[in-house]
Amino acid sequence: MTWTDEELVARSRTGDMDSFNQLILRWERPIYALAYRVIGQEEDARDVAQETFLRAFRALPGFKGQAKFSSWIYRIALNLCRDWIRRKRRTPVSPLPDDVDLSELAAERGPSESVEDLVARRELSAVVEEAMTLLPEEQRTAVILKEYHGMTFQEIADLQGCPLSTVKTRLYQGLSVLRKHLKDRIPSPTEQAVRVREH
Amino acid sequence: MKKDPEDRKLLDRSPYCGDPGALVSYLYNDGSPDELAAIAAHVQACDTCTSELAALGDTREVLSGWSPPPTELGLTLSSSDALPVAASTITAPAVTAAVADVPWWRQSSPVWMQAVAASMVFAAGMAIGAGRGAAPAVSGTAAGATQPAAGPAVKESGVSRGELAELEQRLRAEMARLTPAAPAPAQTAARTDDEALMKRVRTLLSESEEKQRGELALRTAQVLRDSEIQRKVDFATLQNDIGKIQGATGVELRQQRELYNQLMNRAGLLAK
Repeated sequence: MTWTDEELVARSRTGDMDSFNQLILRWERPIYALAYRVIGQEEDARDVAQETFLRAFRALPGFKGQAKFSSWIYRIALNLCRDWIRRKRRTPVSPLPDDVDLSELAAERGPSESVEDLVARRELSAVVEEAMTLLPEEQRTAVILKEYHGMTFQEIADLQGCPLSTVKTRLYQGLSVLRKHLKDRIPSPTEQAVRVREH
Repeated sequence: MKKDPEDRKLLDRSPYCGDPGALVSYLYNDGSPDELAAIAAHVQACDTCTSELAALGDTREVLSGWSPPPTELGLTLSSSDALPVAASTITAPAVTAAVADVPWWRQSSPVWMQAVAASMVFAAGMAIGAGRGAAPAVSGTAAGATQPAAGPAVKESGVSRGELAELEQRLRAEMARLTPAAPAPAQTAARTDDEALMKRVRTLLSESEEKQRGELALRTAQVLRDSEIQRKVDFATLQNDIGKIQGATGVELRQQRELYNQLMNRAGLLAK
């Protein structure tokens, strides 16, 4: 039987550890992905994810269900990411790989993905990651929440504690910076399509 | 096919033209149906907004290729995670290491442990005092004259349970004696006796409290003195150990220096 988040939260509040671990299983990937994209460090992102669930578990008695569990846990994770950034006092930078380890790549590769595709994906990820570091924290977070977590403008506004119009402006500005940066490094899908047609 | 320049001028004056909020709403299809329909109508007629949206759409497509490195998470919590971190785990490693070298019976106990021990000793003392109930009765005058004092002297003027029991018996006897209908003058006399007894009870109670306070102060002072002595002993031992280590290091250093000198001398002789 599949429980909803709210049901699992209610059961967890009565001390049912398994229910909370089900919530973790359900949300650990998105939270880790969020943390990784915001702070850009794999190990630290994992620590942030772990700490997020630990804090959520300890704060569970105070969670009265005013918001969705997902919004609540995203808020905790974002606060931790913000703390991390402040603590490190640096813009998250993911070093670009100098050399590519093929055995590592083979393990990472999806079932229907060729090594060439995988290398391209990694290169693309690295370029996007680098571009993301150019954005101020608020813009980066807004782009990440919208682009990779499919949140509505209103949800992002609630999480960031700002007006809806500010979220839209942050997104527009963020996307504009990314567009300029990525333009020189990666041909846009439209340009690629034109090149294919020319060939 | 775009509209003629006149129509375009009108549409360009649309509040949505070039508005970042409107473009982003349209790009992500996030807004009210009416608003999205109005923006769509404008975009269809506006080349600038159309190309801007196309560029932003391309950027979004590139962004979709960014995925975090795959990793095994498997995060789980246990019920013990809900508890705050135990004080023992916060202990500074250096202190722990220093204490670990000292035998357990010589290690100084934490303050709370000393306080518990003091309470237990005090409670035991009280129990022994209570069991010693056959103490001689103290006359009212003598007890009233006795002043409470701190320290062992308090025991001399203390009140045991036996004394209180005896007092209770006397009170009961007095009450029994006064219960039958008595003439008015007798009642007055009895009231006087009652007042005296109450005064005596109050005196005994205050003496008992003073005695308890005195014993507690005594025990606390003993515990503090013991812990201070223990601390001094530990400190002296630590200094002694450090001195030994320093001495050993000095000896080694001297030996090495001598060896080095010998080697240098030999090397010099060989060179000659």
